[in-house]
Amino acid sequence: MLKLDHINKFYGMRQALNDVSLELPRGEIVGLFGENGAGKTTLMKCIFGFHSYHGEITLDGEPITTKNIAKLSFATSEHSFFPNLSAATHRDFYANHFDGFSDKRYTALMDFFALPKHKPLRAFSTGQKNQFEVILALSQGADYIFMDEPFAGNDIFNREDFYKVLLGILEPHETVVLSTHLIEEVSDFIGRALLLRTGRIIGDITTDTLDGEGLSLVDYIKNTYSYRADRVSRALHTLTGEDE
Amino acid sequence: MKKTSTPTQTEDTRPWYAPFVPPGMNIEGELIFFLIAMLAAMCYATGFFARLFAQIDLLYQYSYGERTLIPGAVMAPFYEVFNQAWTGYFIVLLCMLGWGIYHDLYYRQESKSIYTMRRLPDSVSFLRYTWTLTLCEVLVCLLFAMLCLFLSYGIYCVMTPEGYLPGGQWTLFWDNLFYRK
Amino acid sequence: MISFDAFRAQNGLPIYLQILRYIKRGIVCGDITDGDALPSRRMLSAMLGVNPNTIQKAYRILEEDGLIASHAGAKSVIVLNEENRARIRRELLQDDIRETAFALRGMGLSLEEAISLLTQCWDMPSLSDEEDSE
Repeated sequence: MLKLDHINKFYGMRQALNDVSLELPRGEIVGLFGENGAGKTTLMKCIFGFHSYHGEITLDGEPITTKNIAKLSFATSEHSFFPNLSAATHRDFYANHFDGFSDKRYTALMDFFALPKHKPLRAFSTGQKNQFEVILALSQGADYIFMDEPFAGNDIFNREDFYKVLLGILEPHETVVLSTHLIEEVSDFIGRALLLRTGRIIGDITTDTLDGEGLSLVDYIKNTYSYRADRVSRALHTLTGEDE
Repeated sequence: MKKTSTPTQTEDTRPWYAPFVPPGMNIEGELIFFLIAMLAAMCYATGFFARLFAQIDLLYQYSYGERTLIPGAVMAPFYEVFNQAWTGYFIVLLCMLGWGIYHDLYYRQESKSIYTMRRLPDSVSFLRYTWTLTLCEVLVCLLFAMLCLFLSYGIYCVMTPEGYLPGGQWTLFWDNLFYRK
Repeated sequence: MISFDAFRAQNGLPIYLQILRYIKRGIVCGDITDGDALPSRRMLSAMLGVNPNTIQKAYRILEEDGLIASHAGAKSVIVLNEENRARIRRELLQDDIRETAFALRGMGLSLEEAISLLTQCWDMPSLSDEEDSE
């Protein structure tokens, strides 16, 4: 169980995370939603210890240290690979450092996406870079796989392929936390949705509950954010000076 | 490093020093810089000889083209003669520490490999990749600096005429290293 | 094995209900018969891009309805007999007609008018067929 207890994060005067408490068991596929600057990336980075924070984050009761950090993996749109090195070299690097590295999964995913093995990562297209970034995160042998907007720049067929492959290879003990803006696209894929706004968790619901209440994910999110559907038509009235 | 149930060896051979530099970093530039900087420091240190011979010369008096030792003269203290010979090495040291910091910045260029480096499960690897080369360079620099010192001191003792060598120069050198008494 | 190639996810209805409906329609029109195997939960999840819990929910409901039999280690299998086939047919028909009745009432038709309209349209081809031939 990954547990976050009253996490607060400040950048000077600005509060990036506000009393975030969360329990993430294994075996869930979680969508993390929120506007830009809501704190999605900050939250993930705090979990990994890239940022300092107030509060407690534990994995199976222990704080996150080098002893258990291999159970967490990270794929980010900023890309965390080494641009000079080839895919094969990355594979060796991961295999050397992470005991749980799955060569089988790595090879299968590389073949499925037909990525070049010996070209430097720098020479990949953006879409290929995204794919490789996620492949590494999936092959590391982690129980919790965090993906921060991993598909920026991939076309829709690419993305749909990815969701499907993911569903096919994930084991029951693995959890994926996916932060994305593509709500509709992932609404069938996820089992739980977390909504973040200005550093606070304003929604935490399972798709099971949504089904029970007859709500679609998009509607739930719009309601939670008090999205005003008539916002555009009202603005047009002012912008164009047209009378209704 | 963990070894291995991983079967296949990839065809991308890594250089032997790969575990000791940031992954993928081209160290050619740094090594060339280090070489040139060290040569420059060594050249600068040879200024010692000029000062040594000048000071020795002051022990003599000249008359009719012949030189004789001035009785009662005292050779300048070693620390004065050695003076700033170490300055070059000191600058090289600072430069290589700067390069060390550049190693750390390397992980934030182009892509954020720093996120991978900070997730490595063993605590030593990050330090090993980032600072080993710098450590070696610093040690080489210190080694040459010490050699330079010993050599210079030896030459000072040998070349100063018998009886004109003031005593306790070794201790005096260290006493005066950071400030003049 | 039952094919889900023709399955198209749509907005409006929770996906597990759509899966149930897909299977029921298949049963009613004869594409799915007694003894046909369903894909494993994981495989169907990957094929459709749908969360495994959702698939699990659909399968569980099918099992509770007596429509599938699960055996440990083997694929789930459709169980059809006269009784449940007739029931499914009735249920699907009722669902469809209910939607139509609701729409017609909403437009202000009385029951007699609705019956008369139905009689008129009984022999006409479907709208999509008409468009194709134009």
